[in-house]
Amino acid sequence: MVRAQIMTAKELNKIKNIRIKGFRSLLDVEINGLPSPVVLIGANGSGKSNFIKFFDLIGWMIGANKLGEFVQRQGGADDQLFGGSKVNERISAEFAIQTLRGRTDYKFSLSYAHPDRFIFVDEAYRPSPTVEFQTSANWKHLGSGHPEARIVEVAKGRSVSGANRTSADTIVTLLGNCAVYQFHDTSDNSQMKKYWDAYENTYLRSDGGNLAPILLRLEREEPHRLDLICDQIRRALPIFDRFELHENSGKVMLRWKSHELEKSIGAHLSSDGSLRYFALVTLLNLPNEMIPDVVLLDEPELGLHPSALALIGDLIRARATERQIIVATQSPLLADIFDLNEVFVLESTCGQTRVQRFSDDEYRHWLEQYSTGELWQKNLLGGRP
Amino acid sequence: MAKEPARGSAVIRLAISVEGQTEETFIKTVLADALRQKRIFSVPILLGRARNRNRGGGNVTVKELVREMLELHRNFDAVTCLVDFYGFRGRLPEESVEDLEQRLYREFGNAAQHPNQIIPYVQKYEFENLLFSDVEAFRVAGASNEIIQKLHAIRNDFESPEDINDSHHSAPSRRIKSVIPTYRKVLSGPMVAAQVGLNILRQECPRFDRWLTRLELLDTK
Repeated sequence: MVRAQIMTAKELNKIKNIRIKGFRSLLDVEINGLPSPVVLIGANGSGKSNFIKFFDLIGWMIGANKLGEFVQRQGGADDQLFGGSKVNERISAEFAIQTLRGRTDYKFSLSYAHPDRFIFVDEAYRPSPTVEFQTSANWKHLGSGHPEARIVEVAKGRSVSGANRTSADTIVTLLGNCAVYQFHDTSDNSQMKKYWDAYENTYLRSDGGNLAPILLRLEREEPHRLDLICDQIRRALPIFDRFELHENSGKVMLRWKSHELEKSIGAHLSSDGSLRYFALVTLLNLPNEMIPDVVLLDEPELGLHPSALALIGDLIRARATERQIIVATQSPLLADIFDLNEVFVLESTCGQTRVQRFSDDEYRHWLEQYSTGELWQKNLLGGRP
Repeated sequence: MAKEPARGSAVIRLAISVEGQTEETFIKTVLADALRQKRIFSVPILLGRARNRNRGGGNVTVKELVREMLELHRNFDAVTCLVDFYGFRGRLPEESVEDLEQRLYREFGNAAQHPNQIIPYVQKYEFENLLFSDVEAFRVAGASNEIIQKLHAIRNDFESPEDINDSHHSAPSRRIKSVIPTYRKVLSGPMVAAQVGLNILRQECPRFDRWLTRLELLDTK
């Protein structure tokens, strides 16, 4: 995951509304008033991963300004379109971002082009001093026919000034800092088990590969934060004592010590669940300048003990007060940690993803008896095959 | 962490009925060692309603707790509980912590064969009261100097941490959340309690101390 430089002065900007059309199974999905955290549940194939993947696209398109590379890596443009290019030629999306000063909107529309790529047929933004849903501000169009997002240039360049420039900057900073994390690969070839250059410590990679250099940086720059991370790891892994991170010829590898043994344990001997838990706890405890504005977690429950999962749920909730966190999960135990109005149920009908929401008020009488995950298991929420 | 008692040693196996993972961890990391020194091997048992304890409390009834503890009494030498006063659903009007505890004692007195080995305990008013025994300990939950000062101010308004409460709306957990918005019970609660340490907890919280003393006096029979 390549991302734009993070601004040092953070604003409390949030994606408030989002509408996605034509991307994979998301023929037309609209969510207004996005809470933080957001928990996506649904059967396999209901579109959770496509929703998460869309933010990956946005991260590439705006953060790295490399839509073309993303599309190539994902199998070409045809595969990104709902039903393929013969059925539907366009992907479009619209975001409303809530800022301290009001709101900023951004929209774009991509059309299928030869050979198997996308070109922009519309790209526009508008600053608006109102936080109301209805805004009458005029869109500033950025032309058509271009292969990469122009908003990035607007934010960087001197072509516009004042509110427009600020607005473009808000869009690029927030949407460019969407990052998807999935720490599933703990196989023998996992990046987490390799030697890393110690300087590769700016951001945690989306697969958690460079966990060792990140932890080494924390040990040097913020030892108290590393202590906190170790405390939280011990809660789920009582034998854990501390990480042993030694830089050797500029390289570092993930090793840790247990209370019981003299010899340290390498990542290659750690259990899958332990490694994933290390990565999740570290991500959710990163200092503000190292954690993305929008964090997407794909099935963080994989391989975790139920009590470790409860801790991760609490960490997500704690961090979601400052960052926008979107979690896709198959775990009713993880869903338990969240309020019903933070849960979004995805269902697939005729290959098309639909999103449903529920209110705490409407289900209050059930919630006195059952947890959020239990309501899901009872099929009161849907989201089952 | 408590180790299994050695085979053949005379120990008391004590079940502690709890609402959720916070109390489970608290018992394992803070209480277990001290109890073990008195030859009491403690096992926290999560109540059946552990899954929906996030629903803002109020999810334990006297009836359910009594039934659970009576069942546990068949498997353990002694049974106690660590349940928040605010965790009880269906408290009687004007019922105090002491009244509720007495009600539980009466229930067991009528139902159990050896009621002296069932020791109900209701935490006044909730788990978070204990954490105010030493507010400096909140540093492990990431509290800044400014936050610690605010917590001191709350603590200093009361004689003992166990007294912190004006109404359900100013319960200790709510006070903590208002000062530390990122406070999460399961995550930070047991870490703060461990940082406070059992000695200070007992010194500052007389009801809690009396409960533990009572447990330590359990003898093998």
